[in-house]
Amino acid sequence: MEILLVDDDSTTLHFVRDRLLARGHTVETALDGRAGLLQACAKSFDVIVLDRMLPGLDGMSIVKALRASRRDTPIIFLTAVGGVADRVEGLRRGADDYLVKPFEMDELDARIEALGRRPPLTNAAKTLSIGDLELDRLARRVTYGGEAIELTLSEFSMLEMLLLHLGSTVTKSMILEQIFDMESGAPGAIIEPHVSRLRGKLTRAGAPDFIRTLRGVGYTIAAD
Amino acid sequence: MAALQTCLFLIMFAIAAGCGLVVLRRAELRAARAEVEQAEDDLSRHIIVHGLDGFETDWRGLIQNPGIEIRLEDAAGRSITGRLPHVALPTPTPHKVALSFRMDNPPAPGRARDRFLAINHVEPAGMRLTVAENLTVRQRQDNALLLIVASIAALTAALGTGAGALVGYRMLRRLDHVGQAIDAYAGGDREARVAVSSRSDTDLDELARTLNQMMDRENRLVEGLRQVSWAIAHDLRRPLAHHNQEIASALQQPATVEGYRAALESASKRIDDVLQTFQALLHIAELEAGAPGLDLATVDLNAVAQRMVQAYTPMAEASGRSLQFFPAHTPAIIMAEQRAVGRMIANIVDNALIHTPTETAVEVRVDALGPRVIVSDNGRGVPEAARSRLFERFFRLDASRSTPGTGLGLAIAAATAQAFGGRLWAEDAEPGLRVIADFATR
Repeated sequence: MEILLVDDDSTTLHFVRDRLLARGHTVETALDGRAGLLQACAKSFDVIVLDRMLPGLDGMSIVKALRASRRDTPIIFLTAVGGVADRVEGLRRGADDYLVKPFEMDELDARIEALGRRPPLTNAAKTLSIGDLELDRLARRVTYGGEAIELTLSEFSMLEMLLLHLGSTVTKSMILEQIFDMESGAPGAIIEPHVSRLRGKLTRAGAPDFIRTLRGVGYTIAAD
Repeated sequence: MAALQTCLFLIMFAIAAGCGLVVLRRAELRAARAEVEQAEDDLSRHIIVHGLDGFETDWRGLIQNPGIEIRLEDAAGRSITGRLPHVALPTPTPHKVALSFRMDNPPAPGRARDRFLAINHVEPAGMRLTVAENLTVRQRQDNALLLIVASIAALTAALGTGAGALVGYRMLRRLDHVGQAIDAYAGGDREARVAVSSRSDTDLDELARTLNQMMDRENRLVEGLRQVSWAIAHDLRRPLAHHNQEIASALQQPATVEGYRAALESASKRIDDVLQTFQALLHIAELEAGAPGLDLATVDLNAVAQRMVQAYTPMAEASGRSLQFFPAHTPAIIMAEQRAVGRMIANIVDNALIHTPTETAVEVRVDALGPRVIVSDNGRGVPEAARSRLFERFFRLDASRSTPGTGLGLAIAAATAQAFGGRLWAEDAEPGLRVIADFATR
């Protein structure tokens, strides 16, 4: 993926850049807001990672300018610790996701993957499947080999999220935010029991154990 | 100051009294002149119509004012009747002339002679009638009245000055106490307070109460700061010290990639914990800074609490506890930020599940009246003395020291409730603990 990284903290910038390069992404960087906006306008990126506080032009203004010029490149917004107001305003102005500093690199990886690989059609797909497991998004029904599996709303949503991000990591924070509508700093220990129940229900229906736990990070369902 | 004010008052009163007396005298002179004119008219009319028949004996019956004296004299100036003496008239003698003279009435040794206002008028046959009124009588009445008014004013001034001095003295004394209390507080005596009178409710009492409230609030803030500084130093020192020990011990071991990796992974985990603690502290500070930065919207406590209960039920059941939800029958709406309220409820529920024995029943109840969220458990409960401290940063009961957590969950919950106009408190659930997030409009 081609990623634009805008952050005035050179230590963070180099650390994140090196990690993303190591994962095979192409990375361009900018240390201030104006340079970031120019680069974002000059070229089409798959994902832009944008710090909130930037010299020259702040992150919020960059999001606004890009959305006003109809550039819909996915943007991950990095907000200061606990910046609830920033987060809300960032999302309102058109950012696609946010991450509170300091963040785990795995978390940023997962979110970049989730945004960059989000094929526009997948979100609109009526059914998601892997092997004989099928999830009907409209009927909110899950079947394995044609046999229905009873899932609670949160179990269904979690499976749906994992299938939408097939092959990518779904982090605990993403689950907390998108399924339980909780802040990323909320206690994450509540997720594991939900996943174990989901696993139990799937395996009892005869399905293989699709869900892999990435310790301390989140979960994934391998594409194969 | 009070004496100066009194002197000023007396001088002003004297000027006002003098002016009043002059005006009064002038008015009386006009009234006396009118009365004399009236009497002269009546007597003159009688002489013209009836002649002097019976006049000498009956003239008093012809006029209304008993203070009037007359003299009727013939053309040669000889007295026909009346007590007034002969008055020398100017020449040429006018038909009618106003006069003012003094005479004894009655004669009194050592006393000034009375002053009379008179009119002298020509009557038939060259007779002249002098009609006069004694002004001194009126003046004596006025002087007596003035004396009474002056006495009352002097008494009032004396009482006012005395009372003013007393009140002023007491006020100054109280202001001195206020100053002393503030000085003592500023000098480091955190217990110093301004005395508030229980018998009165003056502006000064109000000021004293406000100052005391300010000092109390200041003390709470200082105490909070002290406690937080201490707790930060204590709670963060431990993981950092462990982190340091691990690095030191890894460096002492034979240098292997695996050894270093294990030490770094462990150190990274500890630093993560420290960062999480800082994140939580900053989150509390942000909430305590107030709601203006927060995105307020209508939030139904029923919906948020239900979602939190759904999120926590598997964890509760997996740990051998139960979690039940009792919604309010009507929407329980507050103005808040949905996710922050969610986290508040999550933290309270999390606390109830972590710090209670297995088989504890935890219930979350929403009460539309308030509205409020009540999380109660039937666990061991919390001693009364510790209950109010549950919401302090880093406060942990001794029994809970081994359980995971930063000791900031309930502090975040309390700061959240406060940011949205509510408050959080704990009470005995007999048995167990009941934590109430109350958003009642105050």
